[in-house]
Amino acid sequence: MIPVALGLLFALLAIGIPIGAMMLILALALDFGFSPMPLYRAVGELSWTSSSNYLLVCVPLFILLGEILLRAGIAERLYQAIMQWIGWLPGGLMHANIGASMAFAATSGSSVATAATISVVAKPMIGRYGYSERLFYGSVAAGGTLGILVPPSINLVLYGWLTSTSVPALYMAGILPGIVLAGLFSASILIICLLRPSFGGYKIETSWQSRIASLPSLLPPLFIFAVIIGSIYLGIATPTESASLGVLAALVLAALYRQLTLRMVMEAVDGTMRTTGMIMLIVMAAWFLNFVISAMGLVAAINSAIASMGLSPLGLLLSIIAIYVVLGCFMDPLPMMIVTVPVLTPLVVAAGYDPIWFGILIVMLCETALITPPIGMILFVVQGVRRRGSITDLMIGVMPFLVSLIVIIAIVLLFPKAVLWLPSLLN
Amino acid sequence: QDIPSVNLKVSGGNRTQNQFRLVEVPFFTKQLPEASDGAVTVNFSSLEDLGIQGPEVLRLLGMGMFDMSEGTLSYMAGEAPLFESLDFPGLTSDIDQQRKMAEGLKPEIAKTMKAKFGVKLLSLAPIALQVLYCNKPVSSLADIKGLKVRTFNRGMAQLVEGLGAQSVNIPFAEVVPAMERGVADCAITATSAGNTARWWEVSDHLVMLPMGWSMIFFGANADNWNKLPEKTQAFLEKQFSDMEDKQWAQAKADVQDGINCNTGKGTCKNGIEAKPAMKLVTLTSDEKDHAREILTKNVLSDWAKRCGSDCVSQWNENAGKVVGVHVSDN
Amino acid sequence: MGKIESSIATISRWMARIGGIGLLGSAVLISIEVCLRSLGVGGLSVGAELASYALALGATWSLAYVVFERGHVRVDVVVMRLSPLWRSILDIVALASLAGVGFALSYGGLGVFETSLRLDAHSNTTLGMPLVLPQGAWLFGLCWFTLVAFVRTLQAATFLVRGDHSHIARIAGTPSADDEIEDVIHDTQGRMIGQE
Ligand code: NA
Ligand code: NA
Repeated sequence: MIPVALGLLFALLAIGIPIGAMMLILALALDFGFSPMPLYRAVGELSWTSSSNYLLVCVPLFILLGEILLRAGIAERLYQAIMQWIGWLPGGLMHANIGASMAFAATSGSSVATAATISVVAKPMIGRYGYSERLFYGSVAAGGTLGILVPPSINLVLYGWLTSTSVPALYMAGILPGIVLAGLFSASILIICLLRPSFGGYKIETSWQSRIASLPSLLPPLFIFAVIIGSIYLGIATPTESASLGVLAALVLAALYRQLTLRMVMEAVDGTMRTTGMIMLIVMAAWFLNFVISAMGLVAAINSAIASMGLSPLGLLLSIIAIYVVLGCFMDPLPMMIVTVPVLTPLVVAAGYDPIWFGILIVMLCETALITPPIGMILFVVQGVRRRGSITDLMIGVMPFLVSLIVIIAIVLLFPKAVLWLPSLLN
Repeated sequence: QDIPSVNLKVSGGNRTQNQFRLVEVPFFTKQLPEASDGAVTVNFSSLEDLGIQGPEVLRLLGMGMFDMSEGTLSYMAGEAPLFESLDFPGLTSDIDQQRKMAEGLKPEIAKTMKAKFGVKLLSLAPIALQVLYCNKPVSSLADIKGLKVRTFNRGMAQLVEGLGAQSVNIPFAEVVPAMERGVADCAITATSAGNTARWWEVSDHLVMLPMGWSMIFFGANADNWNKLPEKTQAFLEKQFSDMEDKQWAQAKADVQDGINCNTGKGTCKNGIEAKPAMKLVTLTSDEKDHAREILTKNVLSDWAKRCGSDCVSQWNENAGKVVGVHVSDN
Repeated sequence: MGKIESSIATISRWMARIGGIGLLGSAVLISIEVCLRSLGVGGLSVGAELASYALALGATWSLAYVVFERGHVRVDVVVMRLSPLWRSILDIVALASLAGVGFALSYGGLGVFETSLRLDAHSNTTLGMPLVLPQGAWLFGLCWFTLVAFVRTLQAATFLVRGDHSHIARIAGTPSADDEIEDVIHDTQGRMIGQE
């Protein structure tokens, strides 16, 4: 069945069927071809539950936040100010993409929301300084993956619940790898731009005077960031609620800048819904495809095969990584965790590994799945915002960052203590 | 036993529940095949295996997606108000009383399930007693006043508000961080489930205010059921009734085990010993009466309107009597 | 043709906007709730539920708009390398697949709506929302999406009969097709300037 599914997947993708439609067609085809149960009957119920999922509300809200910041000119001033300071660095604003992603990752539990926000605000910068478009959007997509590694994180909470692991400890464990990964992303940009200076865009003339003068432009985004992160960490709001506060704060700022007009809000809404509609069709289809793949027992079969093979500890880990790479072609990382983690974690723990460490490893595998072709949710989101060119640009653009992810996964495999150091301070 | 062979597609509960691990899995994968000499085989999956959340399961069962399914009764309360009437908060923390109420209402629930969803009821049992986990000092029921309590259904919200607390709506995935940061002061789950989900890391008072039992059922798609030979039906009904007993016993054990594990007193068998141990807050009989008063005033009168007079008199007669509560039919 | 096309486009854009305004409204409501709660005068906790309905509504009411904007992302590696005729055919197949998927979702959605109607289903919250309201609106969005995708497919098919590939690209192509058209225009302009 897997070869047929993979074949069909690539065939539908190759003839250019839209991603959401492709996933639903694949699901129905697998149901009619292989399933003894009439799974298609569930398509309505599952589409309703997935499209009315409160946890996803933060995605359009963050996009809206980005659109407002963009249309009020706040995002532009922010990037120009940052340019004054890091323009000398090979890769310039691409490092700002990583930094901004890191900041948004600390406010949002979802990688899709993080990637969508940053791609909306960064998009106008691409033409301005002559960066390689592929690398620029690659940095946006890569930065987005930080959303689920840096706390808060929906994936880590889910992992904690499925495996009875401490969520506060998982959150602590995610911080250091998150910072290191962001550093690796920046390092990739730096290395590539040193090797191929044409990718890194033009340098700008600046002086300390204009640097100092640019500082006030940093304040409005800082205010938004303070509202969102402050409301979460002071216990005023949950991450989902804080996205609402962020939207409101952005509207207030736009008003202060005298940019708040009905027309501006409508344009922001239009932009938001263009991306939201595209994402939600994929979400509905992906949910149903996940259901079909799970209900047919495919994942359960893989799980029990792994369990019965009696692998060495390292062999076990490597086969889990292989599963995530293969399943990552079809499935959204979150449901993928739900069907694999409860079965695989006990095996890994029995093999002598720490469950917190394994949680971080799993989330990193999810991050990888989010940006690897053919099905990489973040690639679709960024391409949906970009609205020009081919998605292949993105698939090529994220390659260097995939290397960074592989490097950090290797680091985590080799030095488990690095992950467990911060959580150990909790006790 | 000589019954014709049949393969059943069954969906169960959440993998993380003791009921699932300790009762359902052995029942479907061992007991049924063995007791039928291999005639009945089961394709059994958890909700996680299937990638579904739970509230949609009764509808999917009605469509014939599965032959049999486990479902949470109160999830369907929006479609049939009778289905929440075994999970009223503030009513009882006594599992024997709860079982008597469940037995009394079972025929009526079976009738509704058949008529509305096309599902035949096979068993009815609780997951475990739901209580409050709080991270503010609570030594009596009065201390709940002014706290922010995360609830997840109408009855809970009404009771909590009646007690002077604030009901907040937080998705399950955000409860632990929300408790840690103080977005919510208290949250509700079973004594055992909260223990294995490590809620004691973010809360320190286990308040034994009964918040319902999280009643679950097994049901069969009526069409598929009717196609089974009578012999098979009789066999299955007997087996399910046997499993139902085991589920009640498991629930009873889980309630106490959850308390033991959370408070670090007594033996902790299926959970995680809480460090630091939680403080157990039990209610005096005055406080229990007070909770029941709020229940009658805020929850039951509203429920009676939704459920209708037939439903109310059925409840009074079969369930209310057991606990000495009479709902007036207005 | 033009008139019908532009009114369908306008309706679709406004449906998407209404969905977006719903989401914006729920953001405001949730913010108010958060403020009241932190002041200790809460009592209101319906924002989360309404926001989830707003999301469902926004999701399906924006689908048709995204069709007009050609925003449903496609992998066009192979398509880009084909002859104009084959490219047009695959563009139409892509549009038709959206119509087909829209039909499947609408059909499933109708079942959800019917069941809620038959059972008089309400949400089990203090709001007690009759589910047919949000589900009905959600279903309407799916049906409109299906209709629009279908009409656009027919429209593109008539252009195929006439052999008008650039029109098909405008209706159904990926955005990268625009870049090429722009490049061509740019080139011609450049040449014209060169001739002067
Ligand atoms: Na995050
Ligand atoms: Na992938």
